[in-house]
Amino acid sequence: MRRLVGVELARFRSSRVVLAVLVVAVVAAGLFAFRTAYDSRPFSRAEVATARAQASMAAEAKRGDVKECLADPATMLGPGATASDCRADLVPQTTDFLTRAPLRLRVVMQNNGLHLAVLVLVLLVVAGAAFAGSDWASRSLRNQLLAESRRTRVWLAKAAAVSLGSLVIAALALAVFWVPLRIIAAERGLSVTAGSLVVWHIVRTLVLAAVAPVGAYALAMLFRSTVGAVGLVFGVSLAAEVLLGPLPVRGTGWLTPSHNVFAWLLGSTHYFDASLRCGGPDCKIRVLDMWPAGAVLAVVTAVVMALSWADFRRRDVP
Amino acid sequence: MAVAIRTVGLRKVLRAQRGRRVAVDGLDMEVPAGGVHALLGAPGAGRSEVLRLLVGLSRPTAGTIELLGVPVPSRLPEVMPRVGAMVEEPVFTGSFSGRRNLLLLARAAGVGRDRVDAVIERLGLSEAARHHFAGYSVGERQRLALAAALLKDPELLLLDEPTADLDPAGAREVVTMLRERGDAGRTVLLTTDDPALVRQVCDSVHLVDEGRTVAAGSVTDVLGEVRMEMTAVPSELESLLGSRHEGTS
Repeated sequence: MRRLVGVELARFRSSRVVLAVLVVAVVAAGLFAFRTAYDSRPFSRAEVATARAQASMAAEAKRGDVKECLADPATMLGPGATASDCRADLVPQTTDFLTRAPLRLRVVMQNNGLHLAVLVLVLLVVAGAAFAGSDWASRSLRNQLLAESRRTRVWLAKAAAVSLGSLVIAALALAVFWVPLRIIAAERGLSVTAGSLVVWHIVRTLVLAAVAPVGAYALAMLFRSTVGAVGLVFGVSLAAEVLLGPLPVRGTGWLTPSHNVFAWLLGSTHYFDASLRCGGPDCKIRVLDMWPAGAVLAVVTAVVMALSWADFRRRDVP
Repeated sequence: MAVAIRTVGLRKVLRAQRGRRVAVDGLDMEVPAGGVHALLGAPGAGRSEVLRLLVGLSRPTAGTIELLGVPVPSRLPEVMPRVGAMVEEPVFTGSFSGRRNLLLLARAAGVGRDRVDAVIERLGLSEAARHHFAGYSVGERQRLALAAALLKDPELLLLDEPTADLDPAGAREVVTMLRERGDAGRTVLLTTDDPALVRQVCDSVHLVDEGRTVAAGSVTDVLGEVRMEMTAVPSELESLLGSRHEGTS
């Protein structure tokens, strides 16, 4: 089995689609990291001086309002307001003109970190489907089965190659993104207490990166087509709410693939469930935690894999 | 007499665009162990489908198959290490060199690198094997497929039209190689629509039409002793099939 996995890994890493996915994922990770670091860079002296000048000008413009407030804080700011409230609320500060947020890993995880994870997963799903689809398109699976006729082994070896290969690509991309940001945060003397949160986010992303492409591979083996598999995955992901809407069951929002993916990657997510019938819009906002989300994703992938394997064992190979 | 291949009532119904099509229709066949044997029939007679059934690429609708005494497809993995096959047109990964394609197949089959080099040299592919398969000529593709079939140095070699796309010199080399294997006690079953090739290299022949055996026996018994020219092949096959159908009606 190890020999077969080695063969399939060699074929996986030599695939042009996989190579393209690797390059795009790593380059995108680098760009995301650069953008994140640049957008959170410390303020230069010139920027601080400019902000001071702007604050000073704004304070000058507000002088009349401040004077009026100090004379009668309660009238301007409401009952209980004091003179210090007038200064706090009305006198512009230098920091008001320095709006760039510092680098916070937790916030990065919820923004660019999440975007990168989703991008890498999308790319790997395409790579997984293309790996199987190209075998069917070229009909080279015929030769492979003449060399190793045990179809279950062939199916498993290919799945293992997709999983391991995808894991390596995802690990590379995430390392290119997170390692420099962690170093930069430490160098800037910023708190990295969100570290464990980020580490778990990375671990969950890697788990999904090892599993989701196998699901896409299994679909491509079932449909014997890259386009069919990729089309179904993204079609269902994008149109899930429309597809679930007509069902006579309420509260089906938790079945939407994108909600489950976000919940798994972030630990939990809030989503709007239009299928619920209740009072206001607030009651339709639901929370989905990562474990139920992970269970949904695991069950769906397992069912697709079982169908694909059973089909491959029995069906004629062209 | 030891039997290398035995099929009894072998039947395969394929899904076609309009309904179903019977590709193999109750084929009874016995191929003796050792020597070179042919499955002769016109295009569409079901020859390739028989090979696909023998190597497990296709599952029979009915009937039984034994390869080297082992029932297939139920125990196919037991016997496939002793079987080499080239079925239908040669297909490999286009972006890999011929050598890389063979190395991966050899590794999957548990065959050493030295065997890869040996078959590459035997098929005259030493130069071409370094280039990407996508750039191969039709003849080179055919040779690479033959090399792949020979990787396991098999007891039983199943070849679908082995000389179809080869130039005359290449075809002669392949014929010589097949004859050598047959004479060495290995079994070769080839499919062809060319009676001249059967006369040239084979010991026995199964004449098939519409998925059924029309005649079987030694080459002389089935094809007669008249040596036909290559250009007369299609008409010879037609007349052979015609006379057999008349004989059975």
